[in-house]
Amino acid sequence: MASKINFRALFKNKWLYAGLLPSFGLLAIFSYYPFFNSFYTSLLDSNGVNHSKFVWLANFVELLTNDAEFYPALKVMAVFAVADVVKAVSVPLFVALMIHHLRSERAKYIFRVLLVVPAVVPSMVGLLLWKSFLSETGMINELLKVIGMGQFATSWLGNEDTVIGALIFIGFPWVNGVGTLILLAGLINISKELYDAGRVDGVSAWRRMWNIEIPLILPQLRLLIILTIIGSIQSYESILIITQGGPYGITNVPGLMLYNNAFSYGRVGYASAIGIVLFLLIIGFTYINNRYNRVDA
Amino acid sequence: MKFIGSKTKSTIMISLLAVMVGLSACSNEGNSPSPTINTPTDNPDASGKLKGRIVLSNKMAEQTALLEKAIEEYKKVQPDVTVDYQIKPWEGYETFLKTTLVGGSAPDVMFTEEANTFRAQDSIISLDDYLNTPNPYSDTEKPWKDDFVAPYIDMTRDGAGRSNMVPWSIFSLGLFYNQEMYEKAGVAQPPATWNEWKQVNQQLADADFLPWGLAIKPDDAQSLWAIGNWMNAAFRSDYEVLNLKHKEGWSYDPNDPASTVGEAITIDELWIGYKKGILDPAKSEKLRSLFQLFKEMTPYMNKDFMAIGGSEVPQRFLTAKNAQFYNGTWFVGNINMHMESLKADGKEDQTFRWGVIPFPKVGAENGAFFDKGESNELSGLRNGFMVKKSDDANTTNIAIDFLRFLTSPKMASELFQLKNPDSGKRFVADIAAIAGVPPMEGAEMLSPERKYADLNLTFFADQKDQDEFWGQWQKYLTDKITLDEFAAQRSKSFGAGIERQLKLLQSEVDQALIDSELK
Amino acid sequence: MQNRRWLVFEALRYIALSAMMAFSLYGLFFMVMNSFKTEAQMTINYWLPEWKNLAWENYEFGWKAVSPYIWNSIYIGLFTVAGTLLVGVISAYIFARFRFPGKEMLYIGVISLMMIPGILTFIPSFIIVQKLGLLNSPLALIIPGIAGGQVMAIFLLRAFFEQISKELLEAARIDGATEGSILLRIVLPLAIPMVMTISILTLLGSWNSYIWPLVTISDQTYWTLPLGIANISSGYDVKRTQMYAAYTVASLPLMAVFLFTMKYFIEGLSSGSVKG
Repeated sequence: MASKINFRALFKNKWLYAGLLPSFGLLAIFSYYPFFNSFYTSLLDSNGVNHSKFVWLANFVELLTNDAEFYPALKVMAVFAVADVVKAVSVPLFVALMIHHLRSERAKYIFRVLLVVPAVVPSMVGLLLWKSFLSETGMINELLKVIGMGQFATSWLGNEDTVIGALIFIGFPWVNGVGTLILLAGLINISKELYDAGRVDGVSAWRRMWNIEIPLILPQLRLLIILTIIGSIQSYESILIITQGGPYGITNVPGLMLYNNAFSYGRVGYASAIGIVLFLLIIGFTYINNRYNRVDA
Repeated sequence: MKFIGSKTKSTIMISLLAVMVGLSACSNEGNSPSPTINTPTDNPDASGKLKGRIVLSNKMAEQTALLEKAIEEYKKVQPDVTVDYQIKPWEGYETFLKTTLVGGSAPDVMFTEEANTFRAQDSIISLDDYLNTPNPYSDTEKPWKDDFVAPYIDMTRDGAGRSNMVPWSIFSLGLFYNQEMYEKAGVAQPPATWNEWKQVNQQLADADFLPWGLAIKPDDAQSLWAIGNWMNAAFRSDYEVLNLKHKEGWSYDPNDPASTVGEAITIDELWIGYKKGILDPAKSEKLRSLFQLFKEMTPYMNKDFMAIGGSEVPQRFLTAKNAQFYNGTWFVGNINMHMESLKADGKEDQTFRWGVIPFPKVGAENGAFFDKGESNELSGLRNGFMVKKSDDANTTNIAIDFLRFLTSPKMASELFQLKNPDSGKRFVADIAAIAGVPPMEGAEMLSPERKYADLNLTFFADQKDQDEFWGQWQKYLTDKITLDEFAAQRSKSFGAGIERQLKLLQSEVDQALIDSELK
Repeated sequence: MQNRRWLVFEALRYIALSAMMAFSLYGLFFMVMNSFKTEAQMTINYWLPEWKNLAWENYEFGWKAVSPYIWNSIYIGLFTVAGTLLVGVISAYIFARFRFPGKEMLYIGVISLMMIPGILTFIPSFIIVQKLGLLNSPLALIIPGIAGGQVMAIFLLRAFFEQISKELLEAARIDGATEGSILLRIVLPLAIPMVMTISILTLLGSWNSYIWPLVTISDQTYWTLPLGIANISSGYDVKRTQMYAAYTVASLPLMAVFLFTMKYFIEGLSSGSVKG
């Protein structure tokens, strides 16, 4: 455990660093620079164009102590994040396992293709479609009436009790093509010998899943969870399109606050502060996740 | 993470961070030219004295034919000027403008629906100096602004009273109704006033129809338009008290539309009016009555007005789910097309007879404060052009010159009457904001002229205030809060919004006036 | 008896998968179905197909909107994917197989970039691209695309590479193979399913990207598909049916890519070589 920078080691590995150079070069220009720029902007009271005043941490203080929208929005975001993680892990795992255990190669191919085909539909179209499903005169209410549960029919997106559940329901049955593929790729790598050994030992399908498959694709599962959390914490587009934060501002989330402050209210400094806080949240979660699941070397 | 001690590591990271932040901070300077006063140069005569290139951007595809014709004609008049026309998609156009304005690569002349947020960021120029000088292309000696229908120039003014865009076309709003439903419900004739309309809605409800379909959410401003319009009428008797900064010897005459031309309520006057309680929702009986007035119609609205999207409302009308809806008169064309298309398809049973009338007026019977005349017909500025702020005076001159050419009454008349050869109808069905342009056949009654003189009052100060309004308004209309609570919340948001605007427009605010009035 | 149980389970899988796919595919069905209607038909009949009088003219509009830009989207997409894979595979491999000072710190430096909200960095990114003089060229789309896409690629591939049996690689190293050939001949073939997944992910990101091309590309000849499609809706009234037709046409190249890449998720390429 050397306690100073070991220059010898650095030089020995020079080719490795050189190999990483393209990555970091691109990142430095297109990712780090804009990020640090935003970090700087979060310390300003700025309208993004010409009016800028250095205010140190005033934006953060205002956000965390004086913004009535922030904490409720944070709570809603947390609810969505948990729901998103459940949706992103359970169904894709289920589907990936089913596809993986099909006997026919042909069928596997067909289902794999069908997994990704929905991705050609632009997300906007999908969201508007779901919005009309959930409308008072939409398909879901019609179905409820048909099966005799008409008394539950309501304006799902207009009712403050149901709107969050309705937003979570969107995308049913939540077969996420790419997520499933990631898990499938992991499953494919499980060696045949393990399965054969399992079969010889007379292991049931359930135990096979729990004791062999899930442990071996744990890295992919963890990745999926992290990716989902990252996406969920930042997300705002679907809310922007469907409810615009309503009704009564109930479905407001920090991502939406960022967008509004940056593009509608002209408070770019404040918006950047929101972004930085979200970034720190994500880092926090990832750190916790890593600590909790020590599987990697 | 073993090779470097943690203390050293943290030091490295922090210093790296500081360096990066410092570097990126350096490049933030130099983004904004200091505000200069735009003095127009001697107006070039129309004999080709200008040379250069400008870029014109537009998001409304239907205007393309008009703009391209204008560019063609302009070339004849100014052969050394190139105008590059860039059509952009509708969706995301404002994001495009905001981003490129920050970066400095924005078009020089930009088609837009509103200009005040851009002016607030100092990325476009105010046009008063140009509007007050004559337009060489209009053959009169009068200022450029007289080429337009008077009230609409005033609609381009922001909280500092500056005019920031050149008006192009106007919308007017109508109430569309299903004629067959009217007949079935026993409605003899379409309503002209609010109280008559209440009766009509009751009749429709009794016949089991859904009277009024609308959306009350951030993405649809219908309820705002109505109340804003009423507010202008309700406060007429207060105009002279509110409009403290005015022309020499100005006085207000409601029946003379010219008496409010050139006058505007600027942000400092708004603040004074608010602080004195006149415009404060919590203290103003008038404002509270207006809110209550609108609420009278909630029993006749669709129950999901908080969820439905603005664009779904016409769809419901067309599928005979709502008896009425109100929106811009541009829908006339859409509805006609829809009905024709169904007939061509053999689905005539799905069509129905319909009509459109001006939105029912409110008047003295709705409140004593409407003593100075009932509300004007609902109309407003739909779009116009704004000019990028640039260090290059020549480019700005060309931009202004082109816009003057475009909006000269002769040219505008010619352009608005251009017909699409495929359909035989005009490209653009809107009413022009330029005076003297003949309206479309069949749309003669939709005149942009106003009966009474109105100042453009508002009960929001900025976008954030408006966003807060929606939650509050929804709660009030669904009885989650009382009128008093709504008024109190509105008052707080409005006040906070005005304060934000005061800070933003600091240099234009007449602080001395505020201090003296609010002693 | 063993056989019976197998059959039942297999049948259940088919049923469950088909049901779920049917739901997922409704969106596509909806889009294609409505692309054959006129606006009026779609207004009065939103959910069900309209079989008479198919509105082929929508496809005329759609084709006109889309055809100039298909090629742009294709080559921009391909270059982005190729660049992302190139940079991502090399970096992921270095992170996965070697130890060197500062490795974890550098890795975190890369991964943490995924955690930055995109809107936060939108305008600074634009300014950088402008300063580099890349505005109005396909490079404004490709290079930032690679910069962004590689992060995900490194993230996913590193974990995958680390799972590959160390003994196998040691054996190859002892046999005198260079790192480069180990990467190409052993590791990559094992990672093909993941590489394909990343390719699809990157391609979709590049294909559907709208706001970024909107602000960086003013020259219509370099426009990508989403811009062309957005352009056919005129002002205040959007012709949904025409847009759906355009989307359908635009999705055909993607479908071709899917059909191609999904072939490579075959077990045979990888079995027997992973650490158990």
